Amino acid sequence: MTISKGIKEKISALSDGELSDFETRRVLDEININPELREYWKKIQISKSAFKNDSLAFKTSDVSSTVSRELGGSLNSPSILQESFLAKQRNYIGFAVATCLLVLVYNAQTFNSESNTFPELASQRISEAIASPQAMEVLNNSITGLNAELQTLQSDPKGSLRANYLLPSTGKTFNVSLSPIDSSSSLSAKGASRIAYLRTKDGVFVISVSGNITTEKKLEILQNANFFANNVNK
Amino acid sequence: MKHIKKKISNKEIDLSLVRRAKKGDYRAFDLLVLKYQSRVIATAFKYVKERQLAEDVAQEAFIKSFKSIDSFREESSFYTWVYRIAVNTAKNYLVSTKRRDGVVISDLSQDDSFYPEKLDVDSPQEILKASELRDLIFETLSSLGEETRTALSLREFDGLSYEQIAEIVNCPVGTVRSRIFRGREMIEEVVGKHMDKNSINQNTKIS
Repeated sequence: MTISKGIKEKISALSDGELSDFETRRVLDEININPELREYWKKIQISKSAFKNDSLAFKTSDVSSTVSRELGGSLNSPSILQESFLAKQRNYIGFAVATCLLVLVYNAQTFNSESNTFPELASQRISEAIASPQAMEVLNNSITGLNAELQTLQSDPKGSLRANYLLPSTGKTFNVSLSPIDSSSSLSAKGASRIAYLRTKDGVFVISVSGNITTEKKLEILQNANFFANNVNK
Repeated sequence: MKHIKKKISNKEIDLSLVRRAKKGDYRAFDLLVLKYQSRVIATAFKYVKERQLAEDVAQEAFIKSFKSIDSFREESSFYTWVYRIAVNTAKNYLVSTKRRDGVVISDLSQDDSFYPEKLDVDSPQEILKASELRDLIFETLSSLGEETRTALSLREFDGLSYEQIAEIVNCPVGTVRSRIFRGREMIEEVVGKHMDKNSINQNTKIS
């Protein structure tokens, strides 16, 4: 993989503590995709150690991959280099529980008049809405690092889920939607401005972001979604 | 009056990565592991006296530190915190295996002596390789153009921020960032070649 000078320059600045939080996040994403950038970081640290007269004796030792494996494995993470640790697991559980409740309420309202019993319909809808845990995880992980608060969850009969978020720091709102591919046409008609795709064993999903946030933030969310989607697809 | 960013300590450099790690961003923690692993292994080696054991201790120390990173209150540097965990891990290991005899535990400060390699390795070849690499890095620094060398030296030896360096050499901060990067590119090339050469030598020995 070719490494751009720009990203290497940013890694160099990161090693000096001269990178903004936003840029740091972008650099971490890049490093995650390209292992050569990790090596570059490592070499910078070796030269820094030399300048500080620190030991270079164990420069060939590398425990980082074992540490990653141990931590990743213990937390049931599909990838050792992804952000799905305890706090995120808690969010995910909260998200799933909220989804179940929402779908139950939705079904109670929507299907009361139909011939099937409510418990049957509710059960069917829940299983449809969270048919792909992988897709749900990608949706949940897409807002990593934004400090956004989940406000409401909406669902429609086609199995789409929409999570509405608030950024407390700015008061701005946005939503991230997850839809099975067959209902994506109705989604785009609602004006979703950014879209990513996720292929899972349960089918293809569309992830979209819209709302009152900057284009950079939307791209960041989709970049997160793509990152986790790639790991899911591996 | 224009406010110029002060010198940046190592503690501050690590802070953004530490805070990201606290939010569960493992990628940030991974960079901290890559940054400090050789120093932590060297610390562990002083206790356990075997490279493999030292690596095991370091590994355990990093795992413990990530699992308890929420308890890191940022009063000390990240390295100091991990260092303490590594020392405790090594001591516990020695106690559990009753290997305390002959191990010097009196003074294990972070400040290594002028020839740090001598304290940390078990073979003359390792000492040679490490000092060879150190010489190469300094030679490369000396061979850099004046502007690049000055920027990199002010950063690495004096710990100045990019803004301070820009004031001193009278150029934009972006130019300082580029010059430092250019210098590192040259050094990275040398480090890379040295590491490749040594890995080839190691492979030849194995085969």
